[in-house]
Amino acid sequence: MQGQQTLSTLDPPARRFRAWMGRDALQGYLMLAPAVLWLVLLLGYPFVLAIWLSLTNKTVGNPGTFVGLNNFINQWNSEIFRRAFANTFILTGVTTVIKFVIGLALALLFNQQFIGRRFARAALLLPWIVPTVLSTMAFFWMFDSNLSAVNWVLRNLGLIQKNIPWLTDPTMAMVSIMIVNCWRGIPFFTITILAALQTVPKELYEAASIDGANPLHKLRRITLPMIFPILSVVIIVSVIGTFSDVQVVASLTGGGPQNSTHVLATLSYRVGLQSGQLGQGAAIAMYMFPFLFAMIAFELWNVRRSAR
Amino acid sequence: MSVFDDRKSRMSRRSFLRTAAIGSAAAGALSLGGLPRSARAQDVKGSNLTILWLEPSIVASKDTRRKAMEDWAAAAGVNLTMDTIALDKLAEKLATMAEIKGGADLVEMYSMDVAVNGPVMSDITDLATELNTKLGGWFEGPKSVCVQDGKWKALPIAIFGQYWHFRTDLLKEAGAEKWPETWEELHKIGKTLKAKGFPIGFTLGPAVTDGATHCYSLLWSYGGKEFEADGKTLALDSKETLACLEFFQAFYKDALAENAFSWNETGNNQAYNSGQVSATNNANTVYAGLAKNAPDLVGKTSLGGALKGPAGAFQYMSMDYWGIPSYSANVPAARAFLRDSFYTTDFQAAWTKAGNGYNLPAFNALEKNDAPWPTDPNLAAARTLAKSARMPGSPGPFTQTIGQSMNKFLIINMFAAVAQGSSPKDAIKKTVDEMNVILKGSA
Repeated sequence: MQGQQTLSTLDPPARRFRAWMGRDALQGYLMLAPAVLWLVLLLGYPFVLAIWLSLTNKTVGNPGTFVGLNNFINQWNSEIFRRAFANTFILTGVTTVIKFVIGLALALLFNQQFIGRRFARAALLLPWIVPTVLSTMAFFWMFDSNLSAVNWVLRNLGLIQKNIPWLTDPTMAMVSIMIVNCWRGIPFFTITILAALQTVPKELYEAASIDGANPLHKLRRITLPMIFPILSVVIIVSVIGTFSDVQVVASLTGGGPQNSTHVLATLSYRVGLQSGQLGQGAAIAMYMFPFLFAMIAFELWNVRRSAR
Repeated sequence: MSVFDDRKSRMSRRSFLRTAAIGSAAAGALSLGGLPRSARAQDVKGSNLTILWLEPSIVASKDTRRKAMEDWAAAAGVNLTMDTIALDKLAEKLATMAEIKGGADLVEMYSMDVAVNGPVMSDITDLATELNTKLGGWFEGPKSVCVQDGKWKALPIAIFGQYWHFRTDLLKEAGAEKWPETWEELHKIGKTLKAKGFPIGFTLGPAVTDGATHCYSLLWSYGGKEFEADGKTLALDSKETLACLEFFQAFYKDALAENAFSWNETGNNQAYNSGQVSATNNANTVYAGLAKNAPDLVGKTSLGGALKGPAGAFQYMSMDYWGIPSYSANVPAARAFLRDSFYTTDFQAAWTKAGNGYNLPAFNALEKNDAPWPTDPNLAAARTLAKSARMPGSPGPFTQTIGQSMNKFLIINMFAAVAQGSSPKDAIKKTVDEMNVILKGSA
């Protein structure tokens, strides 16, 4: 064909370049490059900057100087920080267990045939698709200490005599945050586990039935092992999301009452951005890093293991 | 029509010409670099000016201010852009602007924002000094926020009048014909009111304005303070603070609403409007909104002044401020707007009138003029209220440490902890410990 060159007719440098470009590995790197560059610019640089900031006494408008681990030590001396640190783990741990148990139960239910199943599945997704801030504001009004609709209903049903201090008592405020977090997170667990359940071959259950297995045996010996790879990804994704979530706490309690419901993410925001102590705020945020790193490492290991 | 028209109409032609001549000379003398005022306006013609501002809650106040900005920009030939922002998003916006060294040319700030952003604001001491003379002197409260290390980094926009709103019918039933003068008297009346199911609404939640209004005012009236006058030596752990919290423990139990720990800025408004509390301290947005939000309380609500404690009567009031970022390329236009429009007595009088006791000027010049002030006897206190407004950190300056303490609601939480069962000594100790963390972090 006119104008077309074969490899043998090219100049040696052009030939070398064409051959070099033809390698699979190089093509792979080239195709990955935009994504890697994107990650380095938008995640890598801010992350390195956050580490640097956490080691300085930088405030808004002042460059700051290196102070080593002073910010980390100073924050550890704050009772508000220690409470936020504990809250972060308690909130993540408790809500993950609740979301997993209820999500699994609902997924098993939705995996059965019943009238209205499609509607129920669609309705289940609503909490997940409503913007977090909007749904949390609705909960704020439901739990509001002046005009709580929940208290009004419970009082009129004769179930309570005195209003439940949803947002005014430190413990109940934490419980309220957990309720909202679970309300939002359960659909994610349910839908993902439901998808996993539908990949389990029916023959396995039939064979188990013939062998005399009861539903609990089937759940323990067939369902859970078969969906474990997906289950572990769902749990890890949820843990990471809850651990670093700002929206629910910020919108529902603002960290109150008495700074008792702050988590590391909201405290970091308050100290770093709202109070202008960028170094201190970055140090609070960096306290989340080891745990999040461990979670991500575990997830990667799990994905690779599943792939093998 | 200017609110000064009634005074102008009494001027003779001769006196008008004389006044005009003196005024022109004075304006020339005050102008930068000896240039006449018109020449300064010429200097900013064609400039861009972006203003980042918080819209006031009272519609008339907002509209008056917006129109004045637009009128000035049109007359001066300045391309004006007005960006509004919600209060709870302002701090991070200012921090971002300071870090990227870009954004608005004139920004509205809350007290904490002035403390945090002072280092990136232009030194406007000359303008503040000039206006101080023109406006009859700035009040001390806002001045303690604006001046950092001897330099003016901001100018007060307004002081938002805080008033005790109270139910006249309920107080009468409790045996009080008028608003009490002292905290002790309110305690006694509140005891009866709470027993009847109408406690006093005292914000103890994360509300930087209303929480501070209640808690700081009580703390100061007992002589408590966070820092000595140097702004560095902690002074919270004192017998005055202890006495205040001991009083408060009984006051809360006997007289206060028990659901105030989660109240944000609207919590006490809502409680008052829904008839759950008999009194609360708030900007007069509650009073102004009664016809719409609680029509049955119109005619049953009156406003009272600050309450006295052993050390006197003090009132925290929220304020906001103008700041000109030093990275702005349009500093002359921002200064011209402040000097030639915002801080003219005509605009200030019209704006104060529109606010009807909500936005109060932070200077003396208007006090003796009747026109700007509310005619409603309930709002009579507006005329002198702002003069006594006190700021956290008092008697010292409003420092970054104070700003952080307010952002963490430390003083409000100290009161809340006592209400929820902590001993006053423990509450003070925990607050002092947190303040030490802030001090070490700022060192």
